[in-house]
Amino acid sequence: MSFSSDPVVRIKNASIFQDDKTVLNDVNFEIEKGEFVFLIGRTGGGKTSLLKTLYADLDLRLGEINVAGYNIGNIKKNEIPLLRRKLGIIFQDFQLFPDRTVAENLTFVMKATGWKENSKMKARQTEVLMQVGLGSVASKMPHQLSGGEQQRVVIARALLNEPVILLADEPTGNLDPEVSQGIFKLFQDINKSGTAVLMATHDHTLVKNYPARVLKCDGGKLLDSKLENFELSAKYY
Amino acid sequence: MEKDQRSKKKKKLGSYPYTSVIFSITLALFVIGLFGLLLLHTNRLTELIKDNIELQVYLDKDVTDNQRIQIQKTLSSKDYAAEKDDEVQISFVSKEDAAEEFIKETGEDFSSFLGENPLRDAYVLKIASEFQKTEKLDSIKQDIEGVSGVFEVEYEKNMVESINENLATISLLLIGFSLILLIAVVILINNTIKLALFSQRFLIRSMQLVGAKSSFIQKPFLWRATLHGIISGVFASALLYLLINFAYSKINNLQKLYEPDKLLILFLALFILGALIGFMSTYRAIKKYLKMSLDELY
Repeated sequence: MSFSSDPVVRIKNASIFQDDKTVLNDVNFEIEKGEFVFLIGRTGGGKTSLLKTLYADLDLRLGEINVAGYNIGNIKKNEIPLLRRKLGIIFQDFQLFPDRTVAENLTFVMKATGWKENSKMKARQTEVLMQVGLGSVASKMPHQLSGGEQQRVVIARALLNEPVILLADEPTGNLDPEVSQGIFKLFQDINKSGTAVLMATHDHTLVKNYPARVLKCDGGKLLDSKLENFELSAKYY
Repeated sequence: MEKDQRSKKKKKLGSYPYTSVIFSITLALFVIGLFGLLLLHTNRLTELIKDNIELQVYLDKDVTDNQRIQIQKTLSSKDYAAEKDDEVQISFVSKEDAAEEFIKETGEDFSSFLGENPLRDAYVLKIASEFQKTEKLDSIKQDIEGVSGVFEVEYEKNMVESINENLATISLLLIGFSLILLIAVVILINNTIKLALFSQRFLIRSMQLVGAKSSFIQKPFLWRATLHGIISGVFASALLYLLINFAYSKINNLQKLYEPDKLLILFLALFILGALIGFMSTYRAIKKYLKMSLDELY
């Protein structure tokens, strides 16, 4: 890969918009290959908008953002799909289709992203399902799985195209603490195998128990634990 | 059982008002095809008529046989005399033949009360197609009437031209009608695609999130619309075929205008046109709505 030594994400002086008002000003940070980063902040603080801007779902109007070798500011419409194939997107509004099996869910994504050979698709599906610790769910319907298992399948789906970074928005949101721990460990394993992770979360126990770099959306600014110290949860409790 | 329900659900997800789309395209294609049929038949009709435009050249009662042959020679040498296989299309109808024909047609034997045959000897001269304009026929009439021994020249006036005039009016009407129908089809498909995209917005949203190219998202819609266009073409052609056979059975001699090759081409053209209509209007609609974020479809 040509950008192997470059940061996966590089943001310079960017402003993040939500509809017509700015939610974050003067955002500057970089995420290196294989880095693990938390993104925290109160609801409406701009976490989701920031993530959406990273995968070109929201327009970038000010500043410069570079993701996986693509310049988001002047990305062409037909390049957006190629950008997204390099990202693993795990999002609240991006659930499994309830009307088809796990395997069909995965196949659907693969067909949409240009996979052609059935045998290769099968092999890759088994691979990612093993990676998330689900060996035998391929023929099950999503409603036959527990919440944690469903979330694992969603992660498996994000891994299909070997992304350079996973963008996860509240991946443990609806899960009980024990299951969240498991899911979080999975993210760590994935991260250890070289995939960068940017995880937005409300779950402060996670952030406390597993120290990693933290970005915090706070009053229209983005604070970076790499550069300054700040209270994780000052405004929450 | 479970599987059954699943496949039903999947079909529902892609729900799409097949019948109304196919019905509208069929209707539009039917009117266009009707127009095509009309053109084909009138074309053939004018061809037939043009082959048969003839002048009746009535001769003076006292022409001698010599004069008569002289007149035939003069007429044959004119450049407006139609030729077929290098032979001038001219024939002589004696007054006796004419009388016989007349009596046969009307069943009325006029010689019994007139005492004599009032008809005249005549030549029937077919006219080459490039001289079939009214003005030209007029000058030809005058030209021939100048030949000595010719009493009068007659021809069926304006037959071809009146056909062409009527054809122009009907064409305009049909074209206008099919245009209106086409616009209706475009609007209908537009709304259909809007609904279909809306009903599948989660699917499409997911495709966009994982990085499906827009061509991948469009393909099934375009393919389906094209298929529907072709099906509509088949329906329209079948309807037209039934119609034309019905017309042939009801209207005498219409069958003479039947040209199977051209009819086949017309039907093929309808298939292609249907496919094009389906494809183009779907393409237009899908381009428009995919550009919007899917939430705006509400």
